[in-house]
Amino acid sequence: MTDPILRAEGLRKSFGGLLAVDDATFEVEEGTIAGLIGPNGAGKSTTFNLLSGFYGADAGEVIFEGEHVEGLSPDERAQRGMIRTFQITRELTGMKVMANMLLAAQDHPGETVVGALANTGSVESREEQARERAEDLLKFLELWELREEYAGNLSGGQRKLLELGRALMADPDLLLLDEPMAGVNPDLTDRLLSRIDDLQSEEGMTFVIVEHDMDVIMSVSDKIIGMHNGQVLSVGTPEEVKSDEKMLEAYLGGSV
Amino acid sequence: MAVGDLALLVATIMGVYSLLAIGLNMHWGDTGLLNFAHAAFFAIGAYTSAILTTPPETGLLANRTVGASYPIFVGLLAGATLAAAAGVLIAVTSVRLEGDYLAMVTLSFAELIRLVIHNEGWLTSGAQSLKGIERPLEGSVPIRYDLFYFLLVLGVVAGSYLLFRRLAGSPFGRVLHAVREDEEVPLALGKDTTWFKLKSFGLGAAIAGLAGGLWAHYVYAITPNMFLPSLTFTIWAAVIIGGAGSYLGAIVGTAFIVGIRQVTRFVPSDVPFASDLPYIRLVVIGVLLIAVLYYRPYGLLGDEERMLAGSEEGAD
Ligand SMILES: Nc1ncnc2c1ncn2[C@@H]1O[C@H](COP(=O)(O)OP(=O)(O)OP(=O)(O)O)[C@@H](O)[C@H]1O
Ligand SMILES: [Mg+2]
Repeated sequence: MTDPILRAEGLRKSFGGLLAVDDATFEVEEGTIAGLIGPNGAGKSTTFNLLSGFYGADAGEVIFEGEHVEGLSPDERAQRGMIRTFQITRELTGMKVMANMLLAAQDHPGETVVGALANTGSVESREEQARERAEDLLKFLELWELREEYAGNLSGGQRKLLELGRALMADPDLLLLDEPMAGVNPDLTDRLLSRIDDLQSEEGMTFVIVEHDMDVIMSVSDKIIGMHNGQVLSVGTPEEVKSDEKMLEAYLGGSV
Repeated sequence: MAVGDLALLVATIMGVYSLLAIGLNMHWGDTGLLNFAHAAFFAIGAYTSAILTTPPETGLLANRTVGASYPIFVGLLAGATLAAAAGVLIAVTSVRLEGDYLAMVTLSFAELIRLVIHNEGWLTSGAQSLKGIERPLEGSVPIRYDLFYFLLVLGVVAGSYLLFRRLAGSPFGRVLHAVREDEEVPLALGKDTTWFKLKSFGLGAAIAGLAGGLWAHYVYAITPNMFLPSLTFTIWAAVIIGGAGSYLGAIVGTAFIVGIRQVTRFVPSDVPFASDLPYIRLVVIGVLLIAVLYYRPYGLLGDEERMLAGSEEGAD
């Protein structure tokens, strides 16, 4: 086993009287795919918000690439290589698909006022480089034809794909994907999964994926983290978690 | 006043106000920031440049004891810089606020600035006008001065237009647009959105400050009453009519609004209801605004497709 790239230690978050995440502790090893599962309301998305800094934790630590990041803002965590997507897609409706993608380019010298006005060679070459990567990703995601379309005009499934593409554009070390396959047509789902597999095996990218489709998540993940009522109930290989009584009960209880 | 004189006057006002609209378009059209302090940035630019280029008053009724005689371009530059600083300062304190609160804070800030100008007579001449503001190159241009000044303003408008359009079309502008659409997305992608909002605020305020300087050196005397919130609302109307997000629209919208206001001054006084003319003028402006927004809710030069994207009508 490799070192953990991410460690959550005693994370806690309550909304009023509701304890949405309750003392959650888990690790994700570098270059692996972890599946985060649990019934509706288990606290999966809240956990993502705590890891990525969108919510401040009431208690607990987040250690990313060996350093404490719980005091950092969301953008600082993203700059360090932790990129998250949103469960409810957040496409920038009034921006074109291509602009949505290019936005994610990191360390772009054209994002300063001086860089924008001077438009030096380094700005242009960074932009060109970003365009090439965006073209590659959009073609893969079957969104290339729509590159000049406003993102607000995409279908639900296409928006999910755009959000995934945008996250990949940022070239993260760790990608937190909140139900990336919801609403995406099944043919494409398989290709997405194999792309994620490639990114993991070839580029050593690490993933944490929230997914409700058990067959999918069990087949793609190296490790499963099972949550229920804000607590981490079960951690282990897909086989272990699948046969964990506590997890079964959680799902049965949750579906009544 | 001959028609030519009047046309130049109106065109010059349109030019100066266009600069205000360009700045506001960066705030609202590009970044989605509800700035209602625009008149204050305009005032800061006007008073800064006037004070730095006009020596203190003398004589029995002297009020203002502070003043200098720097060259006008120094005054203009300082005015723009100070307005930018004020913009960044108010942004630092309030840019994290949600839209409506930002609107209230900025509006209060603008009124505060106006009251300070009104009350600190030693610096600004207070309610009396700050008079005797020098005009650049007066007496030494080979063409009539009004025309010269209009061309000067036109040049500044053209330059600013190109500059701001370039910013809006750059990767920098892309982040501003993302902030406008949904701030959490650029945040999740590693952009320090607060910092981008501060820059947007500063840039838009700077151009408003420059407009203030150009105004002061044109009208010769300035008073706090030139910087009422109604000016801010007028510029807002211009940006919305022109089409938020379009810099050409901001200029066209300004020309439209200033144009209507001036044209309605020419109704002869012997028509029926002439005594009610000021009210009728307001009604006419209001009706025209409603008409434009009814038929073109995205503004004269706004992007219809962008506005509809993601809305019910836009989805197919
Ligand atoms: N911003 C919020 N304010 C109040 N309550 C919240 C907030 N966010 C989440 N919750 C509550 O916290 C609990 C955990 O929600 P969370 O979204 O993390 O669940 P989840 O596991 O992602 O569920 P799902 O599978 O439905 O997406 C739920 O009871 C939810 O209603
Ligand atoms: Mg969720």
